[in-house]
Amino acid sequence: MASKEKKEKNLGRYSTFSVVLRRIRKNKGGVIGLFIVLFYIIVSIFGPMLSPYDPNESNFDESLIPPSKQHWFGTDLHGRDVLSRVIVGARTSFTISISAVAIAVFIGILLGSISGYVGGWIDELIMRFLDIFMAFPEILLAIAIVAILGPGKINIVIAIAVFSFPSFARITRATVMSVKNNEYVEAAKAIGESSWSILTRYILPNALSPVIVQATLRMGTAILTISSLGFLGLGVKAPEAEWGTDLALARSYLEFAPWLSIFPGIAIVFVVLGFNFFGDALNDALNPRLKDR
Amino acid sequence: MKSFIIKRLLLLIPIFFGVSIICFLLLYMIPGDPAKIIAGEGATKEDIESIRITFGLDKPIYVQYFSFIKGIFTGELRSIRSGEAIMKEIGPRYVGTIQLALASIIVSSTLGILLGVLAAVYKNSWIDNLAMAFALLGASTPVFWLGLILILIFAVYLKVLPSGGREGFKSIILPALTLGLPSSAIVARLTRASMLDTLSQDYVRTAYAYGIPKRKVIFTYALKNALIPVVTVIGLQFGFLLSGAVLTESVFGWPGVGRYIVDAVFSRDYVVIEVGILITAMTFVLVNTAVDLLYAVLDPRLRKG
Amino acid sequence: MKLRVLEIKNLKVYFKTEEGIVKALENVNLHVDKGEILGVVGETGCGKSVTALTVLRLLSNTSEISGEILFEEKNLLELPESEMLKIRGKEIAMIFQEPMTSLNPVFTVGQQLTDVIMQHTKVSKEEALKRAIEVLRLVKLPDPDYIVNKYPHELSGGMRQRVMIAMAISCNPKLIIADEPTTALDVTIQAQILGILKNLKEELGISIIIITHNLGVVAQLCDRVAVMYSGYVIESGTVSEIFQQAIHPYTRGLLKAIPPVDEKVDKLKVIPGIVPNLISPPSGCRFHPRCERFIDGRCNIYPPEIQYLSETHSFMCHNPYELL
Repeated sequence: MASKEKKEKNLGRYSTFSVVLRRIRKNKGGVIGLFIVLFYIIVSIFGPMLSPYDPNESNFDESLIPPSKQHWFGTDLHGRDVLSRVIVGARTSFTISISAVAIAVFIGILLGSISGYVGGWIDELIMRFLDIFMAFPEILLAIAIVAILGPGKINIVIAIAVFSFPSFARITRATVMSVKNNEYVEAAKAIGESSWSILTRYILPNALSPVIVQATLRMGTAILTISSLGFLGLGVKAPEAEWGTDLALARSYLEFAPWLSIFPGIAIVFVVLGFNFFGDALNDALNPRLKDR
Repeated sequence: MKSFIIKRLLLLIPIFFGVSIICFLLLYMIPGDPAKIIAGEGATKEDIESIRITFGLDKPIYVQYFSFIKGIFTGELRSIRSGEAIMKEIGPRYVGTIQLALASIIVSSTLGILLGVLAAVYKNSWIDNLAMAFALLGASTPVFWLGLILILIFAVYLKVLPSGGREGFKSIILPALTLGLPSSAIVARLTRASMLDTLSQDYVRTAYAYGIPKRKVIFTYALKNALIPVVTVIGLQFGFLLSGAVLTESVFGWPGVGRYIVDAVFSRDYVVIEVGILITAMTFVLVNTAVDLLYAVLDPRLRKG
Repeated sequence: MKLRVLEIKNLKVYFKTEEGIVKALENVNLHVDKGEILGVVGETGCGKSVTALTVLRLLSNTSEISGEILFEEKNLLELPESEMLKIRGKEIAMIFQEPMTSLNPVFTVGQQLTDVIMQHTKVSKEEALKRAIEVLRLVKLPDPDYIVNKYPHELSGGMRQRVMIAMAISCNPKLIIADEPTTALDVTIQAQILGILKNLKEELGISIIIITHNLGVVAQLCDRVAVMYSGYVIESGTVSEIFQQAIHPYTRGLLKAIPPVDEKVDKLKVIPGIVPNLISPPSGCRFHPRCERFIDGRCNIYPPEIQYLSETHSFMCHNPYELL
């Protein structure tokens, strides 16, 4: 019977890929989220080719035109097409956020594994170290780092990576600590397998699911932070198209040109929502809990 | 119980030193000569040297650190740009930020808990779906954009609320909503989860089995248990609010510490940046400590030490 | 004719779930007389707890219920919720299996007891507290004045169960349903709890239904027994009738499975097979795949009807053992 096959596939410690995929497909939000994320990635990659106008091309004759057939999202103060800027802005936030999250994941897993596996005073040290980072509210830390290093894409990547890695470290550490006492790890140690091998082959794969979920959700946070920094004027350098920076300029024209404030913001909400939907669905798919009564 | 409280409070002292050292060292983390950095571009050698002496940058680091700490409290520490005593400038702004944070927490917790409880009690109904959709939306909306849109609706089109400034009760409504709504989304999600978990507990079944009516079971028996983790999250939300305050203050022109710090970044007023971040971080730590203590008050199981 | 406190007739309870319809109770018939202790025994999954929860209508709304539950002439299944609130905890009280988790951890014992007392009787807080201390004393808890201010986690499992019993008797119920009250406790405490329950019947005249899978408890405590299997009461009678004159193959199997105290055995006698799946149970009599007295063509096609061997001894079987 079909239910029997389902039960057999659910045995075993790792959710097989097909099972996970099926669970995600069932979750409507997850499917929507996945499409949004894919759409975002495609727009980021092919941005400049898709935009109807050059996002940086100023044309003072056409400044502050409300949405129309030629300019679906209207134009800004400099006469630049808002739709094009929104499209190209996707690439800006994507490159920064994916780099930052990738670095955070790498550092986080590294520190977390060491901390969890070795334990002892190294663990204490690393945990206190993480605590210091987590004592600062995220944006403030990002502002401080940008204040120190100056504006620019790379510095923003560093800023976001810095406040993001502690959560990955904690997740990895927790998984490592709960798994390292399992019998198959002891067995591996008994036959003389190296710690590095044990970590990578047996322990870390367990951390994969929570890390992937967290990484997806962190992408959303990163995009919000990038635009927040941009809004404060601490983001990427003008005239590069970035949603937050454009919204800062829009503030002064709120009454006269509300479209400048609406569209880049909707883009942000749309993309972050996608990551949140997908991250949630991933979470439910990778950690199926008992049905609530 | 008392020893638990005292222990937690004493921990604040080393944390204060740890955080203040980091803040103090911010200036030294920037590549280059601090005096040159403060002086800015196009400064002459004499300017740089005079700055070095004025700010005591020629003295050993630990001396500088102690004068830094001392200077905060005595008022000797001054803003680079304005020359005013730091505490005099930060004081009223700090109050402003705290006001904003408090107003936002009220919005966030009332709305969040209410939505969360309703979503849990009417699980899988349209109420639940709507509340959770709202929660997801709230977590995905940038604070500053929400502020802009609220201004657009209430100040520009409806003209019922002011678009900025800090005059009168009306001026805090939009900023509090801007910060409070996304935060309430997070609180609602957690409250729902915690409430669902609590409602499935045996002792809730016992309450029903003894004829306690549904409303009392939910709001008296279950809620006290469910709120324990929620209180923690609300406290942690304070961190979110402190961060978000920066953005809200910028959008609404609300005079607070956040804006003060950001302005200082542009004017390279490192003293202000350092003190501003120090105060914000310490407030954050204090709130977290208070939350930990509150947790012990709420959950009798934790009270033994 | 003895007065029947509770009578359950043709009770059928199905649950709608994602995997299908769980046919938990198919045709449950049992009754409790005034002042007696009825034991309900059966394996896990036979429906004992579901029956108890159905009496107090504590099931979720995914359940479909039909049949009658008569309590003092009223059909509980037809009462409006507002009336049920007056029955729960006052006329019929329930004691649950897990004393560790059945009490609210953030309220004191006293608060929980007084809440129940004030819910059902019009007394002041002070009087409720007095009553609370009184019932705690009745269940032989030492120092009741001290215990009322304690939180559940500060008491042992045995003490918590006694608090639950105290809560159950606090409003003078006519019937107490105890769902495996001693399963989670160790043997010495078990004896004390059972002693308290016996006292309740003897001194206060409360009728008790005790649900258990332990036949020893039944022998010690009960006047009558109902044996359940997969949603049916397959045999019921007085304790001596069931222990000495059982005719249903399942009951016989249960009794044979008890290891004898006075001889050595190499193998424990078990009933072969496993408990049936409640979503797609066996056709006809649900016990037929495991039954020694199986008749093909009858037992696997027709569900058995209730029959009476005597006024007290009933059974549901197509091919019971002959009475010796």
